[in-house]
Amino acid sequence: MSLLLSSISFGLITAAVLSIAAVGFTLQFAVTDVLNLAFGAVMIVSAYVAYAINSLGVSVWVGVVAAAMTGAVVSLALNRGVYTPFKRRGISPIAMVIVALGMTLILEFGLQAIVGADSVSYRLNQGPNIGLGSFRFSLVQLVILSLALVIMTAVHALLRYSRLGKAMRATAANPSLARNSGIRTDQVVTVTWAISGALCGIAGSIFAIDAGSFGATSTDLFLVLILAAVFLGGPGQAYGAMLGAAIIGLSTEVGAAYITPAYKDVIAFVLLLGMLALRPTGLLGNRT
Amino acid sequence: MNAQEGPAAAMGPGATRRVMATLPTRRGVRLLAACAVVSLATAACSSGSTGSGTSSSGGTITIADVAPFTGADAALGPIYLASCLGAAQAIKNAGGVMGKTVNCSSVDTRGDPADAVPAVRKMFATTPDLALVIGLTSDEAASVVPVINSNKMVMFGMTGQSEFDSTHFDYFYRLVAPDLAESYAMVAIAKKKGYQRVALAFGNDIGSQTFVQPAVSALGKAGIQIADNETLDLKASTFRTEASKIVAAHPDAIFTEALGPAAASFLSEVKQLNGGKSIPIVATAACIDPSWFKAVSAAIGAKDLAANFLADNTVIDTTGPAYQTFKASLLSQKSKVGNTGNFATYLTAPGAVHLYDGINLAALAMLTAKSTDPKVYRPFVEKIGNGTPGAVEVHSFAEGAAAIKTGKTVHYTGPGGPTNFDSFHDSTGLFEIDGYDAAGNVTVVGKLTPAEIRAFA
Amino acid sequence: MGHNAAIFYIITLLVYGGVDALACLGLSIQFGVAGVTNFGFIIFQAAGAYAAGVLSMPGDSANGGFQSYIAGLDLPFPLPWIGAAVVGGLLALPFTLLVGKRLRGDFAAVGLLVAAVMANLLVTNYRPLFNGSAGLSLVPAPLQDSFDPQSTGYQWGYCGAVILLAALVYYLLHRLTESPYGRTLRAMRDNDVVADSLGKNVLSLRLSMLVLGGAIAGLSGGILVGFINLWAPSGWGYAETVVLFAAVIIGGAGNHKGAILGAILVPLGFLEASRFIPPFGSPGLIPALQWVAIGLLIIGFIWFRPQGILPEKRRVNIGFVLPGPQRPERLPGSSTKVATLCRRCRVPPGPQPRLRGPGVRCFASTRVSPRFHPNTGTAR
Repeated sequence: MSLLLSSISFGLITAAVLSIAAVGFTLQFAVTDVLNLAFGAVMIVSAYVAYAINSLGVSVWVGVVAAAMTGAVVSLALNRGVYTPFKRRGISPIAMVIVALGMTLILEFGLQAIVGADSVSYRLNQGPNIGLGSFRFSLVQLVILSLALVIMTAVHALLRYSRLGKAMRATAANPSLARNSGIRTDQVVTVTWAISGALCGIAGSIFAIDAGSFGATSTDLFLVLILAAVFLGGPGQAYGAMLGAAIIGLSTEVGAAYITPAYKDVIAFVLLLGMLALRPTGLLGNRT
Repeated sequence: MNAQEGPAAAMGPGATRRVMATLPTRRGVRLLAACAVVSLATAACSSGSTGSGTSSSGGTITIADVAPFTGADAALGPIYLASCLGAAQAIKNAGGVMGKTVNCSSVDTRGDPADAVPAVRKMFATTPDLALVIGLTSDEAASVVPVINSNKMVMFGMTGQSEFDSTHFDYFYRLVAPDLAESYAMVAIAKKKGYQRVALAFGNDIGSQTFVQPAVSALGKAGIQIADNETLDLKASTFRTEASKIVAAHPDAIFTEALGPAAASFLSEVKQLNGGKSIPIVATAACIDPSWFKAVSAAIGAKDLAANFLADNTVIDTTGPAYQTFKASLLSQKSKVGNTGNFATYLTAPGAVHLYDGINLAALAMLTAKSTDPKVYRPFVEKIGNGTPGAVEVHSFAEGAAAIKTGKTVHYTGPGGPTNFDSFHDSTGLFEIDGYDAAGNVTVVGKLTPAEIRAFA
Repeated sequence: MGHNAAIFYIITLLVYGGVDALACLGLSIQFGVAGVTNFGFIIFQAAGAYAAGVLSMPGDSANGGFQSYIAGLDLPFPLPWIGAAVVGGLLALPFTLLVGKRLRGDFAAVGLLVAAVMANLLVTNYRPLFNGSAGLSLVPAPLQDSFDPQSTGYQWGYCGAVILLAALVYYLLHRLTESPYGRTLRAMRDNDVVADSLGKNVLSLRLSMLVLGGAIAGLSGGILVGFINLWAPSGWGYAETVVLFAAVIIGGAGNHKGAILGAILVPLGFLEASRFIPPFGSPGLIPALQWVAIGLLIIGFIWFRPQGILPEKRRVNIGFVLPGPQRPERLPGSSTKVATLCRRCRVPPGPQPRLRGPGVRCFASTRVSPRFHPNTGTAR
């Protein structure tokens, strides 16, 4: 493959992992108005759970399911135990971000205290290389891509066609009006955090599988990419997150082909800062 | 202090007014700070009263391992600690240093030079029986070596940074090869194997980047083409673009050092993008490490790694008498070091071997000088390492202690091979070429002569 | 060793404490007084350190030429420290893009955090700038040609200079915030809509506070680099910003005494005290638990005592006695205005417990003590 084609294929893989994470993150923001900066920490915790299960000999993909469950449980606990009480108290969004950072420290370094500062590696066979048109992917990479596509479709179906999806969109748009229209917003919030938590867990385990080797602080930089994708598409907009993930994934990898790869994340940073400065509601958000 | 009384219980209405009255005033804050400082001083002073002086039987001396135990280089601190524990055990079995046992302590620099300075200062303030410092990686050496030197404490450092090749620090000793020489050794290996195109892939941290410039110039002198030169950002999780650029350049081999999870991710991506075939790598001695082997063998397969791995290393004399003692001492400490893979790899890791030698040199110097005070025993370190005419050849602490007891002078040669300190207290041993077998044990594949290395200087 | 070593350790603590105090003062000006949550704060300290470094070092071919950096002007003390403060202040200017507009507080905070991560990445990977990941080493200590930097006298002198500077900055800031200018600043922090409507130029106020905070932070960086003679990217990750935030929150935001107290308690007290804990568990366990403890402290303080240990001085206004942030002026008008504001801030109108703390924009009356106003005779 030429360098351009191969960098597009890398971009697609990055976009796949990023899209699952970004959609989860943005859904959490949509219904609770909280920038859950502890998202990366929950991802890596779920990734370790998946790894632990895999090292017992169980298939890697069963581990992904376990990670999804872990992500859902931890995210629910996070919202119920930390964010909701603080919100009820009426603290400002800034203070909420600081709380989220505090939770990141607790989760990430609590994990590091348990698993140690050293990194772990998946003993993974990437599978045969498969050609798709002019692209070549390994089997594992193809599974990741398909998984992302399936999840995006499922989220789309959920939001557009199901009652829960409508309730979620209503709650995101105007919580008090939704409540007054008879929607059980508390339940909606709980279910949304469970679903987005599961997405977080899946994203974490996929991230770890893709990287092959990881440690307790591996998602620190990835969180910035998630933020870039979310803000690019518009915070709270699920479709925006998907779009943002695609843009960020492709632009960073394709850019890396032409500039020093060490700077590829700078592309994402610049896009994020640019969006914040110029159009904070994102590409798909409504200008308020 | 306030941190403990800190968070007040949930405040009821009107509590603000009440609490305001009892909170510390400006004077109170200063008083508090002053008290903290004074109590710290008394604590430190009382525990650090007489300092180490002339010997007396019984008691302990402390060797401090000043290295990262957290952060990207978290694997390094424990290796050095393992060698300290092993050496301490061997010394204890031989009766200790003038009756004192050796205690190993760890000082975590967190891989950050700004954090390392107070850590080291605190070490001095609270370790009255400190007799030796080991460790000192490239992450923090530049900021703490001057501090340790001005405290007149003997130290054996692991940093290969060029600034220590030609700066006078009286109390600083180095047994590992400078990064400069290691780069030349890597090029010598490439030349020996007949590689004609080489790609570089080094991590972007201090310790790894120091190899790049010397390697580039040496490759030029050797007439080897540089196919590609990539820097790996150690915080990233994938390196596909870097890997595909390298694969596209069709190198015969890759020169690499990238610690942490980066090497494993990178090498597995190279393998995948190269159609499932790994490209041979030439690594630095820092990759002779059980956790490195564990991570990379999981990523690309142990057999594959064993078939494609070569590293430069200073010669570890595995046949001599020194080695058996060293091996026994180190293996006895296996349970005290965390679970990081094949422990036997430590036996060839430079951090284990050279610091073990350094500790033995220092201990024998203490015996010869009849003092654990670094100001007194320091000059003997060079004498025992380089040898003086008429000295007895010894290969372990026990042998040396016995010889010194009978009044002889000794010349110590440990598993790290012969020592020759130059005027800057740097000693570069001979180089050898190491590989791994499929179980992670280190094998010696070849030797390099000093002439071969000097050819690229 | 022994006695002398203890003294050196204490001097190190005092210098670090002074540097942290300066940094916290700078942060508290930006965060507590101007209401800007600058998560990228650490860049200012780093920029100051690098500036002082390259201003005081000789050209980069010196000392064996193993480093590579810009400038290298070999300037004598105190020019590097002044340069550090100037650079720190100038660096604040581009940041106003993020905080000047009508950008939500938490969005701006995230943007600044990302800026800090990006700056670290750029400096690490672009070696010709500041020698990449190895950083600047062999940075000269101030006046090292005339004195021996490792002598006790010099160290005490350094320590004294730092404490003096910290005290001076504290005094200046105290005067600033007690002045009418300070009231305007607090007005802007508490409710920029109202302040704006009252004709205060919010943008230029924010800018000047950012610049001032940046300059103080830059100075703190210059002082630190002169002391440890080395400055590398590993020393200013975003983790360091979190520590400074924890310090300001715990000590008391918007309050200079609180900032200093926070500096003593968190970076100095807590992090240093944890070195004295006898080692248990694996070597990396204690540092990891330390971070967990800081996270718990942050959350604990925001829950139980968001105003910090030393809360901002309550300022009494005519008629009403309000705990927490001060009201700027007597608001003309009545409940409709309050209701509008509250809806915007998404807080249900009506009495709310504990509505205080930095950056709280909503303006609601809480626990107003009933007092009969002599003119209108109303009790409210």
